[in-house]
Amino acid sequence: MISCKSYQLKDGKPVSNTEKTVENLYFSSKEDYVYKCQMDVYKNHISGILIIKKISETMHRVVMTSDFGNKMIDFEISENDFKLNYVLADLDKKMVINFLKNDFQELLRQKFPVKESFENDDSKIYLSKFDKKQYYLFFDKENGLLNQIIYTQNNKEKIDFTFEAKKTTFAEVINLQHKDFKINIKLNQITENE
Amino acid sequence: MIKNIAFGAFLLISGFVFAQNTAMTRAEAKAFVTKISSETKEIKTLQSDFAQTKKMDFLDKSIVTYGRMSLKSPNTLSWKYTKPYQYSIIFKENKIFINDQGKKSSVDAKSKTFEKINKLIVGSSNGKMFSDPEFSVVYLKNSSSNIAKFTPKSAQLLKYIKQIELHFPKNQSTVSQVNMTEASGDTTNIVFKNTKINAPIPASEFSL
Repeated sequence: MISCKSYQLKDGKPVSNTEKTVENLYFSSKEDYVYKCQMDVYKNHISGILIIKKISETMHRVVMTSDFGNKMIDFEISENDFKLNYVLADLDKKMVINFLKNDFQELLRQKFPVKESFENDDSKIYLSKFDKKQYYLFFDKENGLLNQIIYTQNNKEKIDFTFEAKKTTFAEVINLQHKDFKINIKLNQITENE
Repeated sequence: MIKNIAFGAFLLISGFVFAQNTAMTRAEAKAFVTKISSETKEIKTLQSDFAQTKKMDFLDKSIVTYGRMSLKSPNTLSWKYTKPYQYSIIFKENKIFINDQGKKSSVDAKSKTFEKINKLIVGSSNGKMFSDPEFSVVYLKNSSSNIAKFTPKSAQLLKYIKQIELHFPKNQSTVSQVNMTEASGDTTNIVFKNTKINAPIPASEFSL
């Protein structure tokens, strides 16, 4: 069973706020973001290529194709909007689309107003809140890069995002793990983003 | 005014490029299909390197992946991407074997999409595609190649694909290039290189 206990930050010492807002800049550039994508949805394994592109100040275009190149899903997404351009008949299920919409809305969220700040040995940690949603953002102390976001709702851990990056605007490896459902998305960069 | 001239010049040039492909006569098309069909009957194995280029209107750059294709008559097929990531798919004895960057799985070959991919690749290498009732075919030629343009007949299939173009160089009985256009207008283009016919293929090529 997957646990549903309340999320509590371990070994983080409260510190005074130094930042008003922190940002996830991993999708903030207008370049193409292209990843090899492996999704595990319960027992189904879905493979393909995922393309994310910022098309306006608030909007991203997200397209997933199979490894052979044919399009599986194509949508435009912002914090408040969602427009489905195309979905392959086999994937056209409300549950699937809602999951993708929700996951990508969280992954692409850029600005996080800081409510509280913490520190541990490795990271500076910022807590951000929107209504029932809470986010813990972990920034590596050494290189200053965002390496994890823990997204909670009503204090329950919902999604754990991890990032491996060498610069602020581009993550080479991204993992998205649901804590309440057996859904995992793994992204590996396949084209240089310069 | 300059804009108009530039536009006119563009039309002229693109018109010239497009005009290079002309329709085959009925007799030419028949001769072409007969030739390809008889030559491909002699194909027992086929190996080729490929480069796959995906274009989408909103992207700055195309997405290019590389790999190797191996085919053993009548219907064993290995399609392996090697760059920039590893992904292999093998069609063998009505089963599909997949190795996705080390993650191995197998499924029965019932999936409609996989069935179509297999049919398309195997069909285009053995000439059977020309008589596939699901497509209508138009034959074109230019100075270096013969081109068969396939359009799905059913609305069902049109949802996936608008058109498939197979290019056969004039001195070759196998496909050198496949251009696929999706309903959205996005294109996937596959160029085959270093094609070997009837060279022995090690069994390991058809296992993960």
